[in-house]
Amino acid sequence: MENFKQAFYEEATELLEQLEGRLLDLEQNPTDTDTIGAVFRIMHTIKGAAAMFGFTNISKFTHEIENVMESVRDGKVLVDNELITLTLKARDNINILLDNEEITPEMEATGNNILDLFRDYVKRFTVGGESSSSETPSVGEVVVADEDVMLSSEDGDISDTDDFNSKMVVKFEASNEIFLNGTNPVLLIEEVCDMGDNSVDLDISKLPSLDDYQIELCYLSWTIQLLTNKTSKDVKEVFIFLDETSKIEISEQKLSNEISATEVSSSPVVASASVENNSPSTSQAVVEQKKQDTAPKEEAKAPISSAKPKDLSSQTIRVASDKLDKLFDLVGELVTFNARLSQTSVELNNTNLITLAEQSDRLISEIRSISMSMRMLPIGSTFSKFQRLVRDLSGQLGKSIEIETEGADTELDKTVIDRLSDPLVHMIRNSVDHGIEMPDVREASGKSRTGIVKLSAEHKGSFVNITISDDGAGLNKGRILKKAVDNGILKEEQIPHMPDSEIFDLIFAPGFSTAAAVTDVSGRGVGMDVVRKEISALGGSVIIKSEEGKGSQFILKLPLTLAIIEGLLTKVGNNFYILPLVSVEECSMFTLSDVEEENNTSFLNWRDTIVPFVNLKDYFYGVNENTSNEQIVIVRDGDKHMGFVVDKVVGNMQTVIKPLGKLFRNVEMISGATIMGDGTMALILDLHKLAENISKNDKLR
Amino acid sequence: MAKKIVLQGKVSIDALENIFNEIKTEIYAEKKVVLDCSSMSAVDTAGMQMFLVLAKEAFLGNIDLIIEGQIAKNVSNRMMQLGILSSMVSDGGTLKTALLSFIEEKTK
Repeated sequence: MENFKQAFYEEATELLEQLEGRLLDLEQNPTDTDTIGAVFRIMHTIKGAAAMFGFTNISKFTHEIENVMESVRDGKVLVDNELITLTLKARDNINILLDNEEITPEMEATGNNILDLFRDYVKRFTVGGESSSSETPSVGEVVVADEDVMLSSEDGDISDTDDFNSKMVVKFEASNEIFLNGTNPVLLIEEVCDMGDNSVDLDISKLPSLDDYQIELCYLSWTIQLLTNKTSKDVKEVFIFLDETSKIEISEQKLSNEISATEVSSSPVVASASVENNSPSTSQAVVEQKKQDTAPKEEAKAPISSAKPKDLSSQTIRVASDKLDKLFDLVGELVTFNARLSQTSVELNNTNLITLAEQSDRLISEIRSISMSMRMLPIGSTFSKFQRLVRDLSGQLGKSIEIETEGADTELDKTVIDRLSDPLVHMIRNSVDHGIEMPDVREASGKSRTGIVKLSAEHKGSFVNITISDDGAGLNKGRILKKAVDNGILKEEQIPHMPDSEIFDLIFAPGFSTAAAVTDVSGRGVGMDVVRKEISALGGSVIIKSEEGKGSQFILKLPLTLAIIEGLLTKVGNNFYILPLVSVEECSMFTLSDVEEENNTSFLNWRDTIVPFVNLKDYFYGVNENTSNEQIVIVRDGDKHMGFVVDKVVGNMQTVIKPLGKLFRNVEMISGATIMGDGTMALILDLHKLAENISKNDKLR
Repeated sequence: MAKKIVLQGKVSIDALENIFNEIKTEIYAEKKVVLDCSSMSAVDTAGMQMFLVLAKEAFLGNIDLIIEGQIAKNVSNRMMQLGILSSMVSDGGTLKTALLSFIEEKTK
């Protein structure tokens, strides 16, 4: 049962994410019938599934919103900004109900308040003026699928009009184990019955004797005759969470005597259930009529119906992310093992073994690449959350802001995406609050009243660049410098000749904020500090570009994955260190004559660029042995270059990142460790932290 | 004399094991079961199925089934929804008659 509830939770969470996106789309195109239909279907699916799994609070609440959406779909209620805001609130409330099995009185009050607002809205904005009870959504009037209180014709929810589009026969044969899955079939039947005039026929032919009866097994099946305006797809959605061994067959006949469809539902497959096997019912005549009409089409559809579900199920499969994590851990072990195998084969100088090791290496590379791709997710889902954020914040601040997104299909490791959300929230809040000006100010400076915040993502080698840009006021260098001096982050004498990039970098200092007032939105000076820390922890960097009056760009450079990286293996003293290969620009040699010293810092002229460098042996072990020729690795950190002198560059290596133990949690310059082929450990350098620490201690030489 | 089995609250799959064990004990001892439904507030599909099994046994003459007490509207309503009852019932006696009629119709 818990597995099914978990499946519902995951499905509902996805649906709520889709709902948010759809609602924001609908705000842009309030008459788009496809989007309206999609919103309605999402509400309907959540409601049905919630009722089925016993989430009665969600089912009750969603049902009422679904009623409104149905009226919107039928053109009885118009869409405007207020309805979108209300529905977004309702969506948030469903999310809260989903996260909390125990509903507090406060949550209940919030839900009731939202429903009251809907009632008020429906009253005011029903097409054709004041709503009448027969035409408007029954928000607040309909009593819904409580475990104990159901919808029925007695509740007045089943329409008594003859104006139905189609006639359906829904055959539902519950699997024996349906109760064990936590499903209460009566809730499904009620929901189907809720779609129109109905007659339910219960088949008890499989009911056993008292001695053979097992209370946990289900022996029942139903045939529902339904006169409805819904489609067979709507009916099918009711059974969306049904276990695979239960069988559903839906036959639809248009009331114009034209048969529109006869279909078998997707996962539950039924091959030969025939109408004449039904137990006698009051509406058998209707059934037989349908049978005659539909028979040829049923035959024609038979092969399709058995093939279609197979096709669908083979396209995608839902796998728990912890299983993927475990798989990836094992792939990591396999990579390490293979490195050992390769090394042993070379040491033994056995040609056969070397060939086998090479073949194994190719296969493992492929497995690694496939398992990595399984962890990759498009960043679009994260982007869509920010559309809502920008919408809400701009409303709160009285600004007019549009959000544009680009490259939503760009894929990143799931872990990176999960951890990226908070930094992006901080940056977007900053863009909206500090970046984009008030509409009047924008107009006065010749800009359009509506500001634009743009989120884009693109692949750059082994990195993904995520850019948050706005066409706002840009960063005010004067104010940043003044604040930095006031806060003691900077000395006055350091200001002259300070490049823009370093000035902008000051905003990442802890406690830095140029905002005149602390608002709910931003200005506490914790945001950008957190951003830099989190992005660094992800092995990425942040670059800021800004032009006063024109806008700002924050470019987050992030690694594609965190689990296995390509590394450059180096030796310093008796130990091995790995530098992430994506940051490495070049490995080269230099002599002492190439070195220049200034302010206790060593510099090297590298491709006409002055690059500061540090000797790692000196830095880590305090050993300063200058040799005539030194090996240096030039790396890039953000838009800066830096050099690290090592004893030996061993070569590149697939690096499976292992976290450091608790004792070493505070060692900032080492981001992890890896095991090499011979079992020796190599430490992975956090180049950004290393550069930061070296600068702080003025140890560059 | 058969013990009266009081069905309380919601007769659902979660509560059914205890209820059914009690019923079976009575049936094996007395060939008779007396169900007091006056405190029963709701029923799920599994609960209704148990009523049907008992009604079938009663119809076949294997046991003596007595249903007593007021039947909650929810229970009656749900049995209608599931296709067991064709109209609302309010007391145990009427429910038993309706269940037996249903079984009779289905086993014709």
